[in-house]
Amino acid sequence: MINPENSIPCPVCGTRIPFEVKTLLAGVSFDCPNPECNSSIGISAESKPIVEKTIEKMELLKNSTKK
Amino acid sequence: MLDNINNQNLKPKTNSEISIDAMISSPLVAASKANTEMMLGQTNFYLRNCFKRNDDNSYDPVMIRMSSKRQVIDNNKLPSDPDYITIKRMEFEVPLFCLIPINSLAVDNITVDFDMEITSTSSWTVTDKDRGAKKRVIKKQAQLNGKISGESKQDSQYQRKSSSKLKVHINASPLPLPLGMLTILELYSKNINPVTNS
Repeated sequence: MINPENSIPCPVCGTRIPFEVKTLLAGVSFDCPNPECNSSIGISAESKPIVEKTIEKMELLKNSTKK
Repeated sequence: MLDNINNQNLKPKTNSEISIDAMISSPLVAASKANTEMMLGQTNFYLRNCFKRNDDNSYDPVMIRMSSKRQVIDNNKLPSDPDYITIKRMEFEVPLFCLIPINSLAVDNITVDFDMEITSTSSWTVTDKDRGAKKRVIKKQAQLNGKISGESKQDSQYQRKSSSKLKVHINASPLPLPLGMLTILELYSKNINPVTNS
């Protein structure tokens, strides 16, 4: 994977927050695993379309290589 | 009519003699080409979708906005107070390619398995031409030629099945990312953290 663990560092404490792109796009926030941090990350509404479009293109690329 | 069809050579030319070098290297070359195709496809995808091309042919990553929420407890207040727990929001930018789950697929294991029937051998000598008039034999090279063993089965009066036994097992799996890509990811990951003004 380009992002092997599909995780990004927490902007507050730096602990890696694992996420799943499709769930993120559905509007779900992912909590920081650090129990002392209490923060969660989510994708902003303005950036959703561009991520959705890229995921769609990626699926198309995957399907075209399967044929 | 039927005789004409029978006289034609309809069988694929799978049993012609080739050198053992070519027999081993052809599947490897094919796998290497497949690897290159996969790598190129992935790189082009990144460049087209996750980066913006500038006028000077440099690339800037497409950034997306994310938000962070954090519950903060005010210890100066009582748990029954309305503002005892407040939610602090923060916005930050992440490169798009950090979120896209693309497999860094590549061929990592190839097994070529075949039975070869040696049909001819040849050899040639490599001599040292540079050392005076007397030529010295440096080494003797051998070349094995053959064909892949196979079987031919007569199914019916007009049907014959020929098969050759060359098995190529290719295993593709996600490989570790190249160091350059990891460095870019790390750089942007570090920039996610808020920096104090000092």
